[in-house]
Amino acid sequence: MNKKGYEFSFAWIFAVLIGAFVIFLAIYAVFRIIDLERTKIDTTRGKQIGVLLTPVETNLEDSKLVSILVPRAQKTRLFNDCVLPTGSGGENPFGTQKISTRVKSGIGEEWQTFSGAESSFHNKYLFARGDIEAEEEFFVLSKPFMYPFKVADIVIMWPDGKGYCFVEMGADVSELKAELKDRLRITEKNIAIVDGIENCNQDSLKVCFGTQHSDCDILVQATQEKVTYLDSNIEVFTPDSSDVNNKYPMLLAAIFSEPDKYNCQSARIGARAASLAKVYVSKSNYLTATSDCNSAPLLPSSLNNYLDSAEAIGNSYDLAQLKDEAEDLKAKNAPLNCKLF
Amino acid sequence: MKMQQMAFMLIGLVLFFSMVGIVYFTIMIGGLRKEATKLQEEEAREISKKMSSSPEFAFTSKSDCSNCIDLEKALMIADLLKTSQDYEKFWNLDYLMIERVYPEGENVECTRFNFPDCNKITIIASERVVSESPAFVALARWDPESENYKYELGKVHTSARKVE
Repeated sequence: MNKKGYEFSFAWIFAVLIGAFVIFLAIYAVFRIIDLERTKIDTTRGKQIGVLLTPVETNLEDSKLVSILVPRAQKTRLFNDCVLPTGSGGENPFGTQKISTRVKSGIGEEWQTFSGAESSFHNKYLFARGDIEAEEEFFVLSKPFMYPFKVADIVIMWPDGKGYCFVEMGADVSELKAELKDRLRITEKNIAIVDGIENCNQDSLKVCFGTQHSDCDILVQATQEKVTYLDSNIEVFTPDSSDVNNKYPMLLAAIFSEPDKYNCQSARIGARAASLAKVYVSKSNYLTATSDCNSAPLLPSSLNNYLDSAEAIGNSYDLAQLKDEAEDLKAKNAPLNCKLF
Repeated sequence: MKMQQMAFMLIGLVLFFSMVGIVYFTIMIGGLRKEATKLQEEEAREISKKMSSSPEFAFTSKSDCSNCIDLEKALMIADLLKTSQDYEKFWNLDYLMIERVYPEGENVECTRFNFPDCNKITIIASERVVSESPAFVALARWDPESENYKYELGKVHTSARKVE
């Protein structure tokens, strides 16, 4: 008998098993490397956006409106987090602004489960929703907040995918309407300014000024300096800036933000105001001691009152309560020959 | 015998690919550190350029030099940092110094006692400045003799935090 067959020896089985194991390891390594590269891209993108927020800050301008472009076919999600300040002398006296991103990929899962490493900044105040997604660009509006001296630049951010509809901007916000519509041309940046809520896009976030309608998402009461988020029925306070020509940075910040983030940033702004007050107290004492610069005699007690109140700021309500001290400082500083600020 | 040869070959292969992997990851991590350093330096450069608009340094006492750095405020912050660490990590910088370029003053560090007969205010000191990003700025200070503000030319020196 002539038997024809193939002997599948142990050596062959062993080789096939080991080969399969090596191929499995190689494929696993490739996927891990892809994940690592994606995390690197996510982290780099977050840091780049954070760094780009520095030149956006204002110098002499009342406001600055720019776009941060996202590379084509790389939709980006930006995560914005705020850490409350721990107070002067603490570990984190100014609080922290945390930014992280995720970039959409065509390989593997569209979005990574976890964002890239967070980039932290102590000197930036970003007002945006916790999670914003841009197809091509993020719009950034920067405005100085004076209280009564410049405390910080309020940086407001929203994505191209998210529409806003400002409804019935009345006489009480006519300067703001003129600035947004005519000077900044914000209607080209996904924001509609309309006279009736029926003119809004269905998908847009409806911001009603003064009068509440059933479809409103946010109610703005500019004269009372407050904004109400109607879905959660939470109210935040939006104190006017001391610059009468540019009163509404906090109001705009509240519209584009979320209640908890807005309150956290308000606390951080309070901490910054307190530190700046200390600088001005020192400057005032120094100038009194070394020159005839006569700003000093009138201000120290007002500054110290301001400082004590600013150190206690924990949310937007507390920030709004500081307004009287801010106005008092402004009134005392204005007529001086040698102004402190 | 053949089994033994195959086993040795497989061990050799695994060792070879492990070494390739180590080399690849070493190069990749080096590239990552370079990228992180580049971003930190870019941040320091942008901060240099924007220093005069920072509320801690902006000169706002008079409207004729809105892009000036207020030297008295800078001096007070440098002083504050000696007693409190609040501003130490505020700008995310390793080194921050403001230097007067013209008119040249005495080449000494400014304090409350010798100001303005000095030419530099070191706000954040560093033992070793790795990569400096200087930017020219206008400086403003109160001049007791003329009872008015005096404007001078200066430079802001910053250095990014080292990436570890």
